Amino acid sequence: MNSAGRRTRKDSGSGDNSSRTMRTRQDSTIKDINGVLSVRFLDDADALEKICCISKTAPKMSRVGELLRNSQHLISHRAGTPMSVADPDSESEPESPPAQPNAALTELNSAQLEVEDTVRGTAVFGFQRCHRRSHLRRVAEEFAQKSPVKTAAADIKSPGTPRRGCSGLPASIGSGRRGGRRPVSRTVDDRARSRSRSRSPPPARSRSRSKSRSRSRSPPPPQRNGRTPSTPKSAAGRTPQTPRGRASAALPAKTPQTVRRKVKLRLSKLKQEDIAVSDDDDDSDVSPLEDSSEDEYKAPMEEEEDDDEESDEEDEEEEEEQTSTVPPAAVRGRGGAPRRRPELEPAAVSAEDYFSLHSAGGPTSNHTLSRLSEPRLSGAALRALLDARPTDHAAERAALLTDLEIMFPHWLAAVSHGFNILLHGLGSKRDVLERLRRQHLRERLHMVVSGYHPSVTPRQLLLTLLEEALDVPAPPSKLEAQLEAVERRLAAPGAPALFLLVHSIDGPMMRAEKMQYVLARLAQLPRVHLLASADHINSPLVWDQHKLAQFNFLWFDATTLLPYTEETSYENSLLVRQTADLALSSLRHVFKSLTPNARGIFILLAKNQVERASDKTFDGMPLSELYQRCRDAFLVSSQVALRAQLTEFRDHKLIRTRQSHDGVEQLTVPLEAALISEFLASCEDS
Amino acid sequence: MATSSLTKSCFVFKPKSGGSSSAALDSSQYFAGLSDDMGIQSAERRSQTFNSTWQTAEKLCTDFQEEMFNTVFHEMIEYLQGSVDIEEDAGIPTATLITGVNMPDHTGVFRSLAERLRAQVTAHVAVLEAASCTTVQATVRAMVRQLTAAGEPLSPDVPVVDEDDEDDCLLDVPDQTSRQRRAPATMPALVAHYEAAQETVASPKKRSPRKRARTAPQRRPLVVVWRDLEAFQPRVLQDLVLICSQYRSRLPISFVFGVSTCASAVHRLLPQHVSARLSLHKFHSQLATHCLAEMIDKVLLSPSMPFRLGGRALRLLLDIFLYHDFSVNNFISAYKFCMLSHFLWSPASALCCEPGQLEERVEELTGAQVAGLRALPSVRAYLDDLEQEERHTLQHDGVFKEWVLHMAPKLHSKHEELLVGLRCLFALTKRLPGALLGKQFREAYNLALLHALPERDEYKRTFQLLNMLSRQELTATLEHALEAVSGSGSALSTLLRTQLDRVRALDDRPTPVSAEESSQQRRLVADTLKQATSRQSLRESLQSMGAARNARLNPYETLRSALLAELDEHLRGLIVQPSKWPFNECVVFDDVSLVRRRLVGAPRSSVQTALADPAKYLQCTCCQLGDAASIRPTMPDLCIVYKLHLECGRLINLFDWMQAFRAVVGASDDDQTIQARFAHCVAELQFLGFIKSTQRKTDHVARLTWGSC
Repeated sequence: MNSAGRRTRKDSGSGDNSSRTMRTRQDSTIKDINGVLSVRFLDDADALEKICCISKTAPKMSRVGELLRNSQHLISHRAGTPMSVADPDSESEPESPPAQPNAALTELNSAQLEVEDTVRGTAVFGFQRCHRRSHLRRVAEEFAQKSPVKTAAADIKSPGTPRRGCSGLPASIGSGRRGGRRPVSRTVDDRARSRSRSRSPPPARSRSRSKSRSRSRSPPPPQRNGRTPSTPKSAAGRTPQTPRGRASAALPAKTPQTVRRKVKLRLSKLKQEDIAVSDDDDDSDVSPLEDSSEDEYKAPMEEEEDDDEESDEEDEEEEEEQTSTVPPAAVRGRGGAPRRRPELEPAAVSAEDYFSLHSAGGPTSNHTLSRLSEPRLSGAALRALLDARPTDHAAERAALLTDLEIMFPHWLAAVSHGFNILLHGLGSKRDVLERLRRQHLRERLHMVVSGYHPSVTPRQLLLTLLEEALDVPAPPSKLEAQLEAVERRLAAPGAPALFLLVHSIDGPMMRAEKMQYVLARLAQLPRVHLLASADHINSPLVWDQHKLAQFNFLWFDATTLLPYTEETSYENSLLVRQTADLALSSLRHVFKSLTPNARGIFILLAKNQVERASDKTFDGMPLSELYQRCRDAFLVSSQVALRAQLTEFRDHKLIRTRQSHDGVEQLTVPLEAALISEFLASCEDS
Repeated sequence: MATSSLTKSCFVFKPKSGGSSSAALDSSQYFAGLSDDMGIQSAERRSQTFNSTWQTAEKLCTDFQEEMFNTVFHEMIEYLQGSVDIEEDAGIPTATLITGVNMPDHTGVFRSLAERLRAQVTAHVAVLEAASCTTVQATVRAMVRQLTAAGEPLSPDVPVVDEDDEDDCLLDVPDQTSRQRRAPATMPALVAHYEAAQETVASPKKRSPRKRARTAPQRRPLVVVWRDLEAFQPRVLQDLVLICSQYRSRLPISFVFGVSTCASAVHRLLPQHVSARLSLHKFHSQLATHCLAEMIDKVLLSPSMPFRLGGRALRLLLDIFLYHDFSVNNFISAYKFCMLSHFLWSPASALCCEPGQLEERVEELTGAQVAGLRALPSVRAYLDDLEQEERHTLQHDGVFKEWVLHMAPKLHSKHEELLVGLRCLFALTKRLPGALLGKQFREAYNLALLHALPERDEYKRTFQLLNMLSRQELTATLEHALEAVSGSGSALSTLLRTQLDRVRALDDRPTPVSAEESSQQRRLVADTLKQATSRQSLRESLQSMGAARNARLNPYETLRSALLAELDEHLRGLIVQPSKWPFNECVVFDDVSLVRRRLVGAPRSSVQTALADPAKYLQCTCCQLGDAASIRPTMPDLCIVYKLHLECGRLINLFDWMQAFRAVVGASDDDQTIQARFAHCVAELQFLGFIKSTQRKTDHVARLTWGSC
C-alpha cells in the first residue's frame, strides 16, 4: 500500500484514470484502518471481526490487504487469551509465535501510518529541519543520479519486504526513516521531474511532498524495524547536515526569477554573517553585549584593531588560550577555577526562523498517545522506571558538580562583600545549593526556599522568615509591615547574617511581581545573602532594571546536566498521570464532612464505577440511572435534592460531569479505579 | 533535615552553636580557599588589602555623591524652605525633580533628598513609593504615617501596627501600648497632629513675641516626596492632589515629584483641573553621563587608589553603563566586583597597595611568591630585554626584591604621568574637528589603556591638525592644556608655560618683512594674471605660487612646528600603555571575560549550549558532534528530546516525538522505560520553558521557541 500511495501521487501527475479508482478505494480503506487502531485494545474476537470486515472492503489493497489477512489468520489461530498489548518492542518478525498477533497489528498500524501520511500528501511527520531537508534532498539526488539501478536493486534486496503492487517493487514498510518510503518503481523522467520539483522552493504544500519524496531517497538505514516504521533507525543512519543555504547555491538557472532573487538575498546574507563571524573572531569572548556595542561605540577603534594586532598579540593569544583550549585555571594558576565551563557562543538565531516557523507550521499527524499500551504512566511508576536505569555520563556529571564545589569559596567571598549569586545553566541546581549548604552554612543561619513548589507565596516566605528564623513571636499580617519588620530586625546591632537559598527563583509561583519585590527588598539588605538558581530560559524577564540593581547578582554558569526530578515532580506533566495521593486524601477529608445521605450517593456512584472499571465503553453513570438507584436506596426523594448534592460534589471536585453524545449527563469520579476501591475499602473499615 | 516536602516550601536552619551565626562573614578564609599553593600565603594579606582599598573607594564615592547632591538639591531646598510663604491661591508648591532614566540610582537620590529635607527644611517628610501606594487609602495612610512619625523614631523592636490590622493583632499584648499611641491615619488626624506639633514648637517662643516675629517662619512645611511619579496610578495621584489642595489652608503641604522622563509627564498624568492646583517648579538633577565622568575622575583615577582597571574591563563597564542602565550605582558595584576579582584571583595583587606599605609587603614575599612575580608576563618581557648579566643578578631573590621595591612604586607615578599626558593631549584635541579622542576624557583614557596611543592614527592626526592652527587658536589651545595639567605640577606644565610665553613673545615682535612681502606678492599675482592665456594655465600658476608660499615658513609657523615637535616628544614619554609597565599585573585588572560572565548573565545561551552540544560541558568523547544538528544516542536523554523538538513546527505530536526518541536511543530499553524517560524529558522541557501544553490538538504540545537553537 505504500507503493500504492506513491502511485497515487505519481499517477495524478501523469493523469491515469485507473489511479483515481484506486485512490477512492484506498481512502475508504484508510477510514476503516483508522478504526483498526482501536483493535489493539479490543479482545481477540472483536479484533478478528473488525479485521475481517476491513479486509473485505480492501481485498486487493496491496500491502494492507495482505497484512489484514495475515493478522486475521493469526488471531483466529490464537487461543482465547486476552490480548496483552504491551508487547515490548516488537522487533520480532511476523513469524515469531508468541507475539504474532501483536506484531501483525503493529505492522498493520505502521502500514496505516504510511497510508495516512502519503495519501494526504502532507507527510506531516516533520522531525526534520529545513536545512537538513535540503541537504537530504541533495544527497538523494546525487545518489539517484549515480546509481539509479543500484537503488532499485537495494530495494529489492531489502529484507522482509514483500513485493507487491503493480510496479512489482517492494513497498518496504517499516524501513527507512519516518515512513521509510523509498524510491521504487521510478522511471528516469519521473525522477527528473521530482528532482526539479524538489529543487525549486515550492509553496508549503508541494514542499512537504517533495520533502517526503526526497527524504525517502536518503541511504537506506541498516535494519528494519517492524514496530516503529516512521522513525529514524539509529544515529548512524542520521545523515550529516550541511550549513544552511548550500543547497540553494547549487540551483540551476531555470528557477523562476523570484526564487533566484530570494536565493541571492539569502546568499548575501550568509556572506554577511560569515564576515560578521570572522570579525568577532579577534575578540574571543563574544557576548551579546559586545556585539551590540562594538559597532557603534567603538567604531573608530575597530578600524585600527588590525594595526594593533602586534602590540596586542600577547594578550590576545593569552586570552585565546584561556577561552578556547586551555582552561583558565591552568593559565592563570587559579587553582580553584572550574575546568569545564565552555565559553558560550551567542545563539545563532535569525529573525527569519521565526517567520518560517509560523508560516510553515505544517500539519502534524493525528496520532495520539492512546496508541501506547499505557498512555500516561503514574508518577511513581515513572520514578521507579527511571531509578532502575543507570544514569548516563555519571562520572562526567559528578565531575561537573565537583567543579562547582571548588567555586563555593568564590561565591561566599562575593556574597560576603554584598553581591548575590545567581546560578544558571542546564540541569537541576538543587544539589549544588544543597552541597553548599551542607559544607559551608552549617554554622550559619540560613533559609531554603523551594521556588518550584506550587504553594510558595511571599506571605509564607516572610512569615517563616520572621517566625522561625528571626524569632519574632507575633509577626504583622501585612506584607509591607512584614518586610519592615524583617528590615528592622536585621538592622539591629548583633543581628545574624541570613543566607537565603532560593531554588528556582523563577519558578511558577515565584514569577509573581509581589514575590520578586519581596525578594529584591530582602536581597538589598546588607545582612541578607541571597544564593539563587534560575532554570527557565526566559527567567531574566522577571526582573526590571530596578530589581536587577537591587538584587546585584553575579551570574554563574552552574550547568550540572542533572535531571530535574524534584522540580518537575510538582508540575502537571503532560505525560504523567496525575498523582492521586493528594486527591485521595482530600477526598477523604471532604467525605468526612458529608451528610450520611450524601455519603451514600457518593459511595453508590463510586461502587458503580469500580464495578464497571473493566468496561471500556463505560464513560460515566447517567444521571437518570443514578437518581433511580438513589431513590431505591432512599437516599434522595427528588431529582432536585440529588442535583443539590451533586453540585456540592462538583464544587469539591469529587465528581465530574460530562455530556455524552446523546446529551445525557454522565457522572464519573475522576480517580483511578484502584484508588476508588481503596477508598471504598477504607470507608467500609470505618 | 530534608529540604523537600509536599506541603512546605520554606525551610529554616539554625546553627546549633548560637554564637557563630551572628559573627560577621570573614571573607579571608574564602580568599584562601580559592587560592593555589602560591597564592595561599598572601590570601589574608590580599583580603585585608581588598577591604582597605574598597573602603577608600567607597569613601571617595560617597564624598563625590554628597558633593553632587549638594549642588543638585541646593536650589530645590531653598525653594521648599520658602514654600510656606507662598500664597494659598497659588496652589500647592511643587518641585518637579527631573531625575533621568537611571532608575537604580534613584533610591540613593531620594534617600539623600529626604535626609537633607529633614535636616534643613522640616521634620515632616514623607517619601511615597508607587509599589505600596496602589489605592488612595493606602497612599493617605502611608503619607500621614510618615508625616506624623517625625520626631518620634520607633524603637526597632516595636513593629508598626496599623489600625486595619487590629483584628489580627488583638493578641499582641506587647504592642498594645504602642498601638494606643497611634491615631488613625487620616487627614484630620494629620491636621490635629500638625497643629499640636506647631504649638509645642511655638510655645517656648511665646515669651518673647518680638524675637518670634523676627526669626524663622512660624510654620514648617510638610513635604511629600513622590518617588518615580510615572509609576503611580493616575487616579490615586489626582485624588491625592485634590485632597491635599483642600487642606492647603490648614496644612502647608508641598510636593516633590520625582520624574524620570520629562516634565511633561506631570501633565500627562494630571488633567488640567488637577494640575491647576499645583504651582510647579522644575529642577534638574545631574545627567547620569556627567555623574559617571565625575565619578571616574574622582574615584577610578584618584591618586589615592592603588587599584586600576584595565582597558578591556573599563570598556565593558562603560558599555554596560551606556547601553544597559545608565546607573552609576551599578557601575560602582561592577567596579567593586572587578576589584574583588583582582584580589581574589591574582596572587600578584598582594603588592597592590599604597606606596608607603610596599616595603613591608615586599619583605614578606616568600620564595614561591617571588617566583610567581618573576613569571608575570610583563616582568618576563622586561627581563628578556635586559642584558644577560643583569638578568642573571635578578635571579637572586634578594636582588629581585630590591628591584621590585624599585619598580613597583613607579607603577603609581607612571599612572600619574599617563594621566597628565592624557589630560594635556585631550585638552589639545578637544577643540579640533572630529573629536579624535572622543568627547569625554574617559574615552581618551580607555583608548590609551587599550592601545599604544602615540602609534595610533588619532595621535598623528591630532598633531597634523594642531600644526594648522592659527596663532590665536594655538594660544587658546595651549592655555586650555595648561589649565588641564596645571594642578599636577609636572614638567609638562612648565613646558606648556614656556611654550605659551614663546608664542606670546612672538606676537609682540613686529614682522618687518610683511609689508614688503605682501607688495611683492601682489606684483607676482598681477604678473601671473597677465601671463595667463587660458583658464587652466592660470590655475596652474596660482597653484605653484601657493606651493611656493607654503614652502616658505613664516616665523610663527617655524615656532609652531618646533613647539609641537617638543610637545609630541614629551607626550610620547608620558603616554605609555599600562600593559607595557613591568609589574602592571599587580595593580591592573583586565580579565574582561570573567567580568562579563559574572555581570552580564547569559542564562539562555548556557542552557542552549548544554542542550545542543552537551559534550562541551560533559567533555566526554562519546557525544562529540560533527555538526551542530546531529544527534547521538549516547547524549543525555534531555538533549536528544530537545534536538528532536527543534525539527518541528509550532505544534509537536507527542506520540511521534516519542517514536523518534525511541528510534534514536535504540532498543536498549523496553517500551515502558523509554516512555518513562521520554515523559521525564518532556516534563523537563516544559519546566525549562521550551514547550507548553496546548488544547489545539489532542496529545500535542506547543513549541515556545523558534530558530535552530
